[in-house]
Amino acid sequence: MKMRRVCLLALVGVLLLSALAPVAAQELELWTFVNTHARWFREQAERYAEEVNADFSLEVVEIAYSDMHDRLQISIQSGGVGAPDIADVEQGRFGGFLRGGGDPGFVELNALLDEGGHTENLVSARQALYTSMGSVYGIEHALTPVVLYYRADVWEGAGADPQEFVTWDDFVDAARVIVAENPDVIPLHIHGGLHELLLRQQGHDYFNADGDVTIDSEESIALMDWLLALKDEGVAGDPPTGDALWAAFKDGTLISMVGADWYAGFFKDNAPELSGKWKAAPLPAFEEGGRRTSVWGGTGATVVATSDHVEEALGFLEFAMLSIEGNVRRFELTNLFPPYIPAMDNERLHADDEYFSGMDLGAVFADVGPEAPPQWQSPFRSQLNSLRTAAWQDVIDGVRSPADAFAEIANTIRDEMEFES
Amino acid sequence: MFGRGRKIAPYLFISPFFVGYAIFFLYPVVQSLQLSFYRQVGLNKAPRFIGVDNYVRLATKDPLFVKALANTTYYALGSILIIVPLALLLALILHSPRLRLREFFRFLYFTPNITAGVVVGIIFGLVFEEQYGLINNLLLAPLGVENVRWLRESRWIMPAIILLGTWKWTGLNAIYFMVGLQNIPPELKEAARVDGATRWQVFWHVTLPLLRPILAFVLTFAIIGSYNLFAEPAILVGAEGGPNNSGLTMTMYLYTRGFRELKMGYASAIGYSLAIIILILTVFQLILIRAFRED
Repeated sequence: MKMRRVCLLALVGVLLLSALAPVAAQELELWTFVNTHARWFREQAERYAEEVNADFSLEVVEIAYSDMHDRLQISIQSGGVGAPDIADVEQGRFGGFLRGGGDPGFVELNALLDEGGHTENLVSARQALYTSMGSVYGIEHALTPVVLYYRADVWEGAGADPQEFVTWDDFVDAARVIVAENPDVIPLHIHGGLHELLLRQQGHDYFNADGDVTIDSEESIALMDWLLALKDEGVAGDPPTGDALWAAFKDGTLISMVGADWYAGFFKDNAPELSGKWKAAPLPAFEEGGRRTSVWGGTGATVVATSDHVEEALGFLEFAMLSIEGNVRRFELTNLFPPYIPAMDNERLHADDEYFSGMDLGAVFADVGPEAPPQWQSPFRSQLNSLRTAAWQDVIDGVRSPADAFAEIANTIRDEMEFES
Repeated sequence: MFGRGRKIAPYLFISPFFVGYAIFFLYPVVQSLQLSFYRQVGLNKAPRFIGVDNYVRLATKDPLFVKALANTTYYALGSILIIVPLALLLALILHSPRLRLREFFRFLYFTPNITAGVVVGIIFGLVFEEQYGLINNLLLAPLGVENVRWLRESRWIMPAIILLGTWKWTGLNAIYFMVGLQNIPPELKEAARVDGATRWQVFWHVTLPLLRPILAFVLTFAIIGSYNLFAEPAILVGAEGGPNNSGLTMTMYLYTRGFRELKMGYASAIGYSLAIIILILTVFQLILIRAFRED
């Protein structure tokens, strides 16, 4: 009997403790799928606790890309069960939250942005990705200007200077020389986002400003045909994905990367041994005088509407994401170029970057940034990405023609739009 | 008073299961049946009644659903045709009285089954990796076979998943067969031998017919398991099924439509279609091996 009472008391004690614990700690939870973001968020949370709110503590949870977005959607769908307070949402998946025209489950940020005077400080083309019917739900992390990262030792060793490239023809000419020497090298790596970002460099996209699907446009098909022709010639190739991709960078198979600002941080995290061998240059244009950059990716920080700590979450985001210090520090830690205009000319963005051969990497981004093309959000973007990813390997392998594959994708999306209208 | 309490008590004792069953199983099952006749897209959006539109669309206007059905059937056929005979063979070997360390082998063949699907998926991702993976480098390269692009070329994706399924399920099914073999009275085989039957004839005319209930059990569960395949391919090639959706199974299709595109009504219709398909196949299979015959 005595034993039973002790057990019961212990049980009640444990239950009480577990019920009280979260209230006492007042800990907020943040989900992200990028370790560079996580690193910066953790540091900002510490700074926020030191400088503004001593009670504030943030648990930063890293979850893989698809899983994180799937879980976030499911937890919002189920009324916020297990949902975090703050979440990073990648622009490619953001449209999915808008599907059906319902409330996406995030806190509307218009009041915070307008009253704080932040709206005009943010690049509007980036914020458009997280805006629906005038409501803003996310704050962009990066301007995502696309540049040409290249192995300086290899290209310069072959007598080419990618800083001098004006058009893609210059790039291809130099690449031919390198491949003639060493056929195993892949000068242009056709990664999953290359077609999309080059299409935006040309001023087009998979969706237009009216929300119509345009992946099957003449320009889109012609661009893919051009990439495939380069692949047939041996100038471009499709290397493996995942860990094997980094192996291919390390063993020198891949000697360039057409990527956004966030890719600089990926290099440092995944291939630290290549430090000092890389440089970055503006993208070659499709014609002389043409646009020298594009945009690729991007992620917005959101506050989940079911959070019990909306005010604290907004306060933290304003402190970290809408301040010069927060934005500059993010560049220093992760190389994300600020989409926050007052931070853009900060001298700390122009420090020498050891990984990129002592270059002023910030200057390359700042140089091309103003030319960055807009990108249009669509509730159907994430589904289009899924369809395109599925068709991708067959198109690359020449099993299906781009015209055929892209038309099928576009028609599937048009049919979905009609079914849901 | 006492008598009434005694009548209620047993029901109270077993009630937790039924309460849990009603909340976590019965309610969603009924709710999703209802939802399958509605269009519900997106978060926080009210469903709208559309009759059988979802089912009509699935059957007539959704090539990806047909593809998922074909892929899953490919897996089911491939895995059953390989796993069942292999498991039976393994069971016959393990049943042999001359085998030493039998318990050890039984344990060994059972371990794949207690490993979580996600872990298996991650490990097999490394096994099938085209440049550095185990299969290409250790098994195929010594035979002079060029690197197979297991997870990138659409025609190799399903074979890769079937190989994984074989690794995972053969051992468990062998254990089912072993139980069946142990329940066959040795006198029957001895009698057949005395009558001059060869080993093959004994197997074909005595052992196999007596294994029929076990065979029915194994096949039923193999069909249900095959059509519910999710974790391993989802980890191996992504929830969309990888290149050309070649690894897309029915449950992955349900998952992506429901939880990625937030089409709950449509996903419910996929779920019910899947249930109906499994039911038909199972009944058909049971009739085929005459499991209902009384003997």
